[in-house]
Amino acid sequence: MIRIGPGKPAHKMPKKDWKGNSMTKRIPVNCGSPEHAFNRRAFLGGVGGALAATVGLDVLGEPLLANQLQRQQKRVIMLFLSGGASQFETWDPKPGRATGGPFQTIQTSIPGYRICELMPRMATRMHKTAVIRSFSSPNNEHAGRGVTAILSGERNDVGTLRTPSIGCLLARELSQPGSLVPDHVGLYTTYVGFNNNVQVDFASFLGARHEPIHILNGLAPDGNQLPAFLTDRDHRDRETLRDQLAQGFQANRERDATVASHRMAYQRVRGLMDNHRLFDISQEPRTIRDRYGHSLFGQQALVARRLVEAGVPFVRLNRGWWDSHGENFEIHASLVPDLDKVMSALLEDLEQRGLIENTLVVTFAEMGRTPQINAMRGRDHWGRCWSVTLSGCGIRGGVVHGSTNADGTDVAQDRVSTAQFFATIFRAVGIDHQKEYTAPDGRPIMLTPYHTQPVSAVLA
Amino acid sequence: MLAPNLDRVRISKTVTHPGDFLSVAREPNSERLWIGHTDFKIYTIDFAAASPTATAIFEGHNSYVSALRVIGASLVSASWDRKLMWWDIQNRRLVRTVAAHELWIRQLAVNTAQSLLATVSDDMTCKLWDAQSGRLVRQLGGFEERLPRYDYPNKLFVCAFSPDGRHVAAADEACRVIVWETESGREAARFDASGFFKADWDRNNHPYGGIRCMAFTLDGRSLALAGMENTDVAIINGKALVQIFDWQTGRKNYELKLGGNIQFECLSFHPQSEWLLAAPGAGGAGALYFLNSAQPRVLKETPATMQTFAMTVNEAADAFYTVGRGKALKWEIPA
Repeated sequence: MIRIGPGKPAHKMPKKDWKGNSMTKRIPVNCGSPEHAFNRRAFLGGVGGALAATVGLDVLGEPLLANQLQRQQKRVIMLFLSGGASQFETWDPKPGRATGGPFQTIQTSIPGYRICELMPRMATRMHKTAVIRSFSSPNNEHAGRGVTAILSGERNDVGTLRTPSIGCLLARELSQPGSLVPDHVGLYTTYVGFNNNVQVDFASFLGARHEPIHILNGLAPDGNQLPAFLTDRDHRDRETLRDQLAQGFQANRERDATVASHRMAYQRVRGLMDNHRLFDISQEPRTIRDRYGHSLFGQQALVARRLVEAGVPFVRLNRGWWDSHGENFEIHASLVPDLDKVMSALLEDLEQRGLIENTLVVTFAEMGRTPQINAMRGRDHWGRCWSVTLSGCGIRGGVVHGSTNADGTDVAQDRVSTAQFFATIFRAVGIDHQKEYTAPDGRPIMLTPYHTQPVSAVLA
Repeated sequence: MLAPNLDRVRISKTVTHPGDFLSVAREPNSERLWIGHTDFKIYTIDFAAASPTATAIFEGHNSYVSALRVIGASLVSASWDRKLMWWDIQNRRLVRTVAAHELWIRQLAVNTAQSLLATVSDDMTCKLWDAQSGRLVRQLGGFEERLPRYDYPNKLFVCAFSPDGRHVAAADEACRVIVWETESGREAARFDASGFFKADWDRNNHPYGGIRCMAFTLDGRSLALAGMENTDVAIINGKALVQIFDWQTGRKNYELKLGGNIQFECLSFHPQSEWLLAAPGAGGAGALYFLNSAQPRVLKETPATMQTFAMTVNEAADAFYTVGRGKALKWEIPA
């Protein structure tokens, strides 16, 4: 492990016995903090009756309120490198080896740690990011059971039960009751994976609320603005009427979750429409837009920042398509500089807005790429050892955890499983990774399998 | 002398070696090859030997050796490490290193008089060099720095001199071709090779295919381009594409598409324009293609036994040499 800076004590968590009994508790819908709840109400402008007509960036324009939000609510942005980016052309280069490829390496701000030359911006700020070079997963595919498994933590403790994906778990854990902004947004630059129904988050039995709103190949969800024939007043009148009828219908059904969910869904649609400006990056100064760049990925990253700033707890940016079976180096020469620019801009922007302390930014994918360079000068699918990163909330920057061998064909030190990685994410944003929730059949399930240890070395 | 008979084309010698041979140059009127490798070394093979082998001779580059040319008694190498190196073939020593480009050098061409070298790099410049001294003669530009819509860095893949040396051409990832006058540096023509490129890859957000090799026709009036038509699928599976343009007007006079999952990596005209030889690299190990250089049709398709990354044809065009994935091959075309 390479570490710089004075170092901080390991992440403190309440002690638990070896069985974990004292730690486990039924999952609340939110973290339970009254202060947290207060701020959600403030954010919603007193949401009791009025449905958030003022929700969104206008509220964030108030410095005091923005500061309160910044202090308390945790969020996660996942940069999901769909198709599988090469660890060799990013975080774990092997220059001069047969597996290394043609690119050179550059020194980072962490003494002794070099990354691929395609990432000069991130190189200057690696002391604020933690890299795990020893991530390991059985998955080698873009679709199917392997992807379902990796997205839900590759659990071996739940039998045939399909458990929710990491995005939906985080969306639920970090969401607030009554929130009229989405809990979970997934933006996609490409539709290779999407159409095949791969790499998409799934809430399973957590319920539809925590499923992502998908934004495909654009910056805003479809239909988040009124059709031309309907005025805002007409729409509000209709909503008022619908709500009155719904209240009557719900009167003797207070405990019916389906009815409540149905009613809430309408409210959230209205909330989303009222927040359409969240998706409008023309609201941002030109300097900010230029910093993110003008690729779709860059623009979607700026949308992601606006969303988390407005209180969306989990946003996944799916940047594709990294599946470089042919001409791997040409593809990475195109995509990695874009990742470098967008990721560094996002982190810098979050810092400057005071959001980074409460926002965790993760890079992840369904797999890495083979050490061997194939006959098409490409790299194929590879799960055995590749790299992930964590920056921001709860993370000790400047840590390079784990290593691979000289040719990058296997983990040399400190193998990290998917479950450990997810446990680390949960802990970084203050969630007990051994919390229990209840499956439909009534059995308690922990967020990560029993005895899973987070990677404490990367936690602040 | 009887004309070579394409029906009798065959591999006469094979040298195997681990890894990829990326580039090749042949000493004139000999069977000695110099070959650039992905292990950053430069090898030699003398196919005149009874049992030829690949021997590493020159080391000095820090990345893939992307192109080689023999200039008199010197070998010039270009690399992804951004450098040009001049090597004394006889004395087996390094003569000169030039930090030639800001990014990876992908191709190196030499004019017929062997007085000028041209290099192209992803820094989006084509540079002309004094072939003897290594002095920079001229820097040529005019390509876009970024690709449209996706905002990716552009790439300059190929360059070639006209047979009379008066013009040099280069083509970028967006399949724009620019031709300059070598003497003045003035831009003589530019055109877009449609079919090689489409700026709309919503399925995977980056292109596969494009122009990977070029050659002027013997009269210098036309420019042949080869590679793969642009696709937006997840892996290389487009059709191989050859187009020949009247470069002064930008008019396309020839187009041939072949199969699927083929990308031509190298292209060579027969000295009397009897045929145009195209070899696929990434995407296909299937075959070499002898094409009719006047009409778009295949004269002869022959199994290639490897992905071919570079080739050189001898003076009589009765033998040629291909290098690629793990092999270097000598081919003969008996009469």
